[in-house]
Amino acid sequence: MYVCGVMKEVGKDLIASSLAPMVLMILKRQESYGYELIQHLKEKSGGHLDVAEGTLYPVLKKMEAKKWIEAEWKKADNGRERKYYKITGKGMKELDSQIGQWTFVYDLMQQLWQPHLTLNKQ
Amino acid sequence: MATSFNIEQAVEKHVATIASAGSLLPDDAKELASHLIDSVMMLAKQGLTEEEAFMVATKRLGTQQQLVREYEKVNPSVKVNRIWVHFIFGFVALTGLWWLGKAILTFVYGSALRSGDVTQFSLSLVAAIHLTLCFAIGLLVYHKRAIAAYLQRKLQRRPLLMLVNAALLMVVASSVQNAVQLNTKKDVIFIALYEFINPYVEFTFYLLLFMLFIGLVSMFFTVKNPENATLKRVFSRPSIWFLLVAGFATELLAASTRVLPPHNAALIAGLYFGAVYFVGAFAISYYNRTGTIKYLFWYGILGLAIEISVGIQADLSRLNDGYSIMTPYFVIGLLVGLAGGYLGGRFFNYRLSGRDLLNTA
Repeated sequence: MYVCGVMKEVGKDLIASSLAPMVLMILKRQESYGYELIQHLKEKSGGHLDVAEGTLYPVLKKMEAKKWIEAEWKKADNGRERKYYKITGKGMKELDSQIGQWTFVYDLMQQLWQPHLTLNKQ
Repeated sequence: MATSFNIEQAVEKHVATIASAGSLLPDDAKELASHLIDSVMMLAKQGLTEEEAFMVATKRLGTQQQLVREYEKVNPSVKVNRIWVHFIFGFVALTGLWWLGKAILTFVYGSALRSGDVTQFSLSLVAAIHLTLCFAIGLLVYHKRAIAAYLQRKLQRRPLLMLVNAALLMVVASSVQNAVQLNTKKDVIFIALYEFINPYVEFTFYLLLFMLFIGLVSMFFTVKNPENATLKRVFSRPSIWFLLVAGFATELLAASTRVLPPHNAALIAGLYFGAVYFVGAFAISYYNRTGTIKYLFWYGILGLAIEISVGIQADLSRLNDGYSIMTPYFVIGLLVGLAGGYLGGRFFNYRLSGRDLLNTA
C-alpha cells in the first residue's frame, strides 16, 4: 500500500477501536499483565503509540466484562502481585471476527487508493 | 542512596489522588499502583533516580482527569452509587437541620415559658432568636455555592464519614428536642403562635417561615445557576415561575404584618402591607430596565387574587361581627406599593444609567 509521508501519530479514535484486537493478539500468544502489554505495544510501534498508559486498564475491564479475557491476581517472581490477563474462547472468536473486519476495511481502503495513484501517474 | 523518597508511599499517594474522584474500584487502584511500580523499576534500571522515574511514570500514566473519565465509562455503578450517596446525604442532612432548628426553638420556648410568667425580656429574647435564625438561613442561602462546593468535595473523598456526620446531627438534634420536653402536646412550631400572645413573637415567627420558604425555593431556582445568590442575580430578568413564587412569598409576609399593632387601624395595616410589596417591586424595577411592568404584573397577580377572593369573604364576616371592612385598604396598599416600587426603582435606575452615560461621554 502506498504510504504518503511519515506517519506521526495514530488518531485517538483509531487507537480506541484498535486497542482491543491488538491486546487480544498479544494475549493469544501468552498471558500478560497491563504494564507488559503496554510496553509490548509501544515497542512494536516504535514509539508512535502515544497513549496515556493508564487508559489501557479501563479497556481491559471492558474486555473482561465482555468475557473476551479473564483476569487473575498472581504473585510475580519478585514477590509483588500483578493482575494477569488471558484470552478466553469467546475472545478467540472475537479476535477472528475483528481481524476479518479490519482486513475488510484495509482492503477497501487499498482499492479506493488506486485511482489516486493512477491520476498521479498521468 | 541518601534519599528520603519512598517509592511505595509516593505511588500509593498518587493512586489515592486519582481514586479520590470516586470512579475507581479498590481493585482498579491496586492495578494502577502495580503498573506504576513496574514502570518506575524499569525506568530506574535505565539510569533515572527513583524520584525522576516516578515523575516520568506518573506522566506516562495519564492525568487524573483522563483516567477518571475512562474508568467512569466502565464503572457505571460507581457513578450511580455516588448519586445515591448525595441523595441520602441531602435527605439526612436537611432532616437533621430541620430537627436542629426545632430543637433550638424547643429549648428557647421551653426556657421562656418555664418561668411561669412570660416576661417582656423573654418575649424579646424569643423574637431575637427568631431573627437570628432568619439571619442564619439568609447566610446559608447567600453562601450556597461555597457550601455546595465544600459538601461536594467532602462527599467525594469521605462519603461514609459525611453520612455518619449527617446522621449524628439528626441524633443529637432529636435527643436535644426530647431532653427539653415541653409541657404542651402541641408541636413546637405552633407554640410561637399559641403560647406567647405577642405580635412581635408572632411576626418574627412568620418572618422565619418566610425565610425557610425562601431557602427551600432558592435550592430549586438555582439548580441551573449554582452561583451565589446576589440580589442582582435573583431579580434581574426573572422567570414567570420565579415571579409567581416570589409573589406568593411576598403575599405571605405582607399578610403576616397584620399581627403588628396597632390593631383595627385599617389605614396603618394597609400601609405595612403595601410596604412589603414596595420592597419587592423596587428590587424588580431597580434591576430590570426593560419588561418591568410585565414582571410586576406576574409578581403581584397572586397576591391580588388572594386579597380579593379571601379578603371579601373575611370582610363579609367582619361586617357580620360589626367590624369595619379591610380589603380595600390591602388592595390599595398592594397596588400603591407596586406602583411606588416601580417609580422608585425606575428613578434610581434612571439616575444610575444617566451617570453611566456621563462617565462614558
